[in-house]
Amino acid sequence: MKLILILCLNLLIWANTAQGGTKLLENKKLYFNLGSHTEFYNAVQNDDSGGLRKFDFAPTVGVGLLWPTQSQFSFLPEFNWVLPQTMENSHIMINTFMLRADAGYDLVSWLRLRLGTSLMWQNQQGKGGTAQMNNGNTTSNFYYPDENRSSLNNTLDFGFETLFDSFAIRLQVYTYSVFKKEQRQFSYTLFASYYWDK
Amino acid sequence: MKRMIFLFIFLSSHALAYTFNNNFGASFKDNDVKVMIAGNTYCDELGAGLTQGELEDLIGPAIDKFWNRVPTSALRLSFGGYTEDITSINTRKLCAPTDEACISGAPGATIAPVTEIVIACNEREDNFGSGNVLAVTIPNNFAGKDIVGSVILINNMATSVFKNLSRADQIGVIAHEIGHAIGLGHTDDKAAMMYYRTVDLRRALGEDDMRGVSYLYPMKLDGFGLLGGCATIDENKKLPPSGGSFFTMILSLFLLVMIWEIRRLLKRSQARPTF
Repeated sequence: MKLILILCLNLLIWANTAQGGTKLLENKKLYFNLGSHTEFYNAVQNDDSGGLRKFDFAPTVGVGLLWPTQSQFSFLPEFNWVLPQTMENSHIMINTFMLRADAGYDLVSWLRLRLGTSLMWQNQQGKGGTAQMNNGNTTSNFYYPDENRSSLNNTLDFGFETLFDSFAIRLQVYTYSVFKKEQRQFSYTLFASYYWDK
Repeated sequence: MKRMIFLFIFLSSHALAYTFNNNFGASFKDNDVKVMIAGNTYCDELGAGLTQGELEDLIGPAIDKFWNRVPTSALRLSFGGYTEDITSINTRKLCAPTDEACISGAPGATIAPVTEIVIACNEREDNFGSGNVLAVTIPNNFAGKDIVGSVILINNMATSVFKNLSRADQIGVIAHEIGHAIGLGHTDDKAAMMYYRTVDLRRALGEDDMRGVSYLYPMKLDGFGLLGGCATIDENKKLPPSGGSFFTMILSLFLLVMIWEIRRLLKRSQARPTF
């Protein structure tokens, strides 16, 4: 069942792309994204009184291609980069890259629905080092990571994009572990995009 | 422009400061790890204030509400029941296998190396120092860089304040100790489970916890990734994501097409006549 659903999604994307015929070669537009990414909505504690994170300011930039296939459908591959997250004294730096593709459907002239998938590449770069921290009634040495490790995730995505001439505002939602309820989490990005009409 | 970029990076600062118990980032080799209760442990009503059954009831939520909810980590904890009897688990000293001073300080009276994660109540004062220390944990069995087993001891001294905690806090303590058992150290972030003391209310892991457990427990891609799959690649060990991903292949093709198109559009733009 899971496999069938995933294959259906792929078929949807491919069919959408293929139906355009000769239009594939016309009317393409580049677009540029600027946004803020929030990872794991409502699932990360962000204070000591039980507050859960609903919004995170993690600047994201990206570039994509609008590829109309037939009257209301389009194919939208894009690449986004969540800028490095770090602190002055931090011993870890994180970069997140998203390689994405959506099938787009223009519900009305100013609203586009998107359904697609992402490959999320999250890199953690440890710089090593030691920290002396409280441990019970005394202090102990703890150790920072000193290696470079990356995570790869596939997500199932959907989005809503409102269009204003060459500009657009978009909410893009990423679903992790669609079929594993206990691990399922949602991340999202709020994008402002500029469509470059060549 | 540079200032803008620096400002963005500064504004996006996160409390990224998880640590490990040891300087080699040890973790369990297998991603499926069992949490067990020592078969012969007893938790005194006047000490930890728990029965064995009540202790068992704390483990499920500590696992499922916290550590098993990270989609970028392959670690899957489960309750594994009760171990065989472990000699004097309730009274012996807990030492790391490399801590020679600890071992020589308690000749013949240290807890034997275990496999998996084993929880017990313990009343030996020098394990805790005082009644205010709720629990202690040490991976006490290693194979190279891999943790083979860890021991979690709940303070069962008469002065232990563990019995005064709410059930939610007791679950939080067990979850924190499981964090140590799988290899994580403390963090300065109060929002994190691995902060060194209890907080007002614990509802989820903090960002540091999620990053740390994802760093320690790489998951190989399974199927199409959407089934819960992800992969953390240890680039130093040159481990590729196993199994591959159909989506990854398709997305790579998309990227190539996109780069080609961007190049073409830019060329066309440059070729326009000017006035």
